[in-house]
Amino acid sequence: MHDRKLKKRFLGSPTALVASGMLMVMAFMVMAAPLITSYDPLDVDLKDRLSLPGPEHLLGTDELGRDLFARVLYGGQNTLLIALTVAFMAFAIGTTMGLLSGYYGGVLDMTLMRFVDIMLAFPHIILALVIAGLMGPGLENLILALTLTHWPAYVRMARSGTLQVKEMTFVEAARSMRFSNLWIIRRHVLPNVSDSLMVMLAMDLANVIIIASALSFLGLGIQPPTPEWGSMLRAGVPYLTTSPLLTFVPGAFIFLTVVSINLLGDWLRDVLDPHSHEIEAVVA
Amino acid sequence: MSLLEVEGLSVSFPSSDGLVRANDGVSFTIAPGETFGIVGETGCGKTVLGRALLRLLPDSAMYTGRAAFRGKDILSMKEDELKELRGRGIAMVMQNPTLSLNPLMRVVDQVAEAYVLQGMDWKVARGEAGRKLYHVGIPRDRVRDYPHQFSGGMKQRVMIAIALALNPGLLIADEPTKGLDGEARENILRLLGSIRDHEGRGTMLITHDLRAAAGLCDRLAVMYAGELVEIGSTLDVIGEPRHPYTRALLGSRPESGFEDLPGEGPPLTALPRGCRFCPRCAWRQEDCVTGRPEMVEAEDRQVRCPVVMRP
Repeated sequence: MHDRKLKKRFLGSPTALVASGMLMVMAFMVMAAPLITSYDPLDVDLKDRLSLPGPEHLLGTDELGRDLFARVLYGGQNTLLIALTVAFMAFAIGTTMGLLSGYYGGVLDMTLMRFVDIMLAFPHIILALVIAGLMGPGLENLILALTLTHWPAYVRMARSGTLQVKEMTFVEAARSMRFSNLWIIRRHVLPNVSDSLMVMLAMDLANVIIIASALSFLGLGIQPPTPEWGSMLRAGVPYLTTSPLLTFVPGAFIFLTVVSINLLGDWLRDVLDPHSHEIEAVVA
Repeated sequence: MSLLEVEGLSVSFPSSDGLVRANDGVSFTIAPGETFGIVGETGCGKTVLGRALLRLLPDSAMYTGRAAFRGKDILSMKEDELKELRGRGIAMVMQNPTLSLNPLMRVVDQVAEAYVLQGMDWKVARGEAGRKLYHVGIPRDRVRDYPHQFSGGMKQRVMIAIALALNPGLLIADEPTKGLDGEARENILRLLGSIRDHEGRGTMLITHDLRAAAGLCDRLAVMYAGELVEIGSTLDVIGEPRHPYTRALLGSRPESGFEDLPGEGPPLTALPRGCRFCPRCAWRQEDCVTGRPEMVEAEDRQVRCPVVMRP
């Protein structure tokens, strides 16, 4: 009944429908890039540099005569790959650590939480900058740097939820029935803390896209000629006045993706937050 | 051999107000098939006793004395022995069924879990759980519901089904009728009555509800401020209470005229040196305040009051 209700509320919300529709279209275009455009994003054509949009090149070409539409689609593959990998890895690591830390407490909890405090004291982007700078640019290092900076937030969220849930009687009841700690964590604690973590994951996904793009923009992410939204933005900067499309197109893709994810995250938070149900019930 | 043997069990917790003596020198036995009631007012240490027998108290709890289940000492058990004890040896129905069920799990799954842990396949376990739930009075078409779709009485039935899942030797029911309306209460008591002395299973009923205890238990123990003050067969204790506290407790029932017992129990951090009930006692003598009275045994009855037991 939980799922059915969620579906009903989803279909009844224009925001959620539009946002997820936009995301789906975008994801499809990015995934099916080879079907949509016949151009190779790496194909240089110096005779046809910085051309305007036309029948041949849908969005024109960049400073090396590469098809901009093809580049933004293929670039999206990299951006979304980074964002999804980072968000899910940070989610998995952080949630596991937070559950264990909150459930067992003690020295493990103390040590881990002080470490998390330190990690969270630095702005994400600075820390990621330092890590990526130290390890050198590249796709793997970017993913690693972002994961390292993002998991501590999940630890905190999962831990605070666990601290509440583990005091509940049903956890004690489960303990009185010979269940092992890991079983209790997995089946009784995790489902009861996952709502807020899901919302956080959705919000974080948007955040990671922005930070990954920023790092690429600064030259610490994926290196040219491989297309990526952030590095495309950077490559377009010198031509801002003459060919604004070079920056506008990847910028618009980043913007639309992030806004859609955020709207979806907001919707998810409203749905999962018990207080918003009450408000709705009062209004209805 | 008795099923459960508790001797001189004391449980205390350190707190900012000093040591909390939740249980002090508690001794009693439960025979196989017997239903044993622990009666006392709120905060007297009944629930602590139940949890101590499953070692569910926080790590800060300090135990002395002995509590043996089927001859094995519970207080010295290691983690893996405790696992063996919990659920299969002793199972507990917690008070407040609303908080004791996982809100995000179908009730059938919460019962089935116990079987899965025994190595049973989920599908088989669900079938088994459905039968168990039917046995405690949950209709078959409701087993896939979530706890919030159940009434308090039905949730309590689910709790009982979970506790009975592994066929424990001793069932501890901690205030099973708390917060239930009259009819649901009667039904739960009837259910508990129908499952007792099944294959020699013992039942320990922890309650402040004298009527429930009287209707269900073979023997009763009355608890006051962490210690047992009277133990005897239900008929004797209810029909002819000896300890002043038991008398006052029985006198406060509506059918006996709602007689008020003045004052309140002493805080468990600052217990009086002499008899703990002394400040509220109508039989008080001068020497009551000096030494702690011992249990006096006479004709199958134990009473912790030398005054009323004097010939």
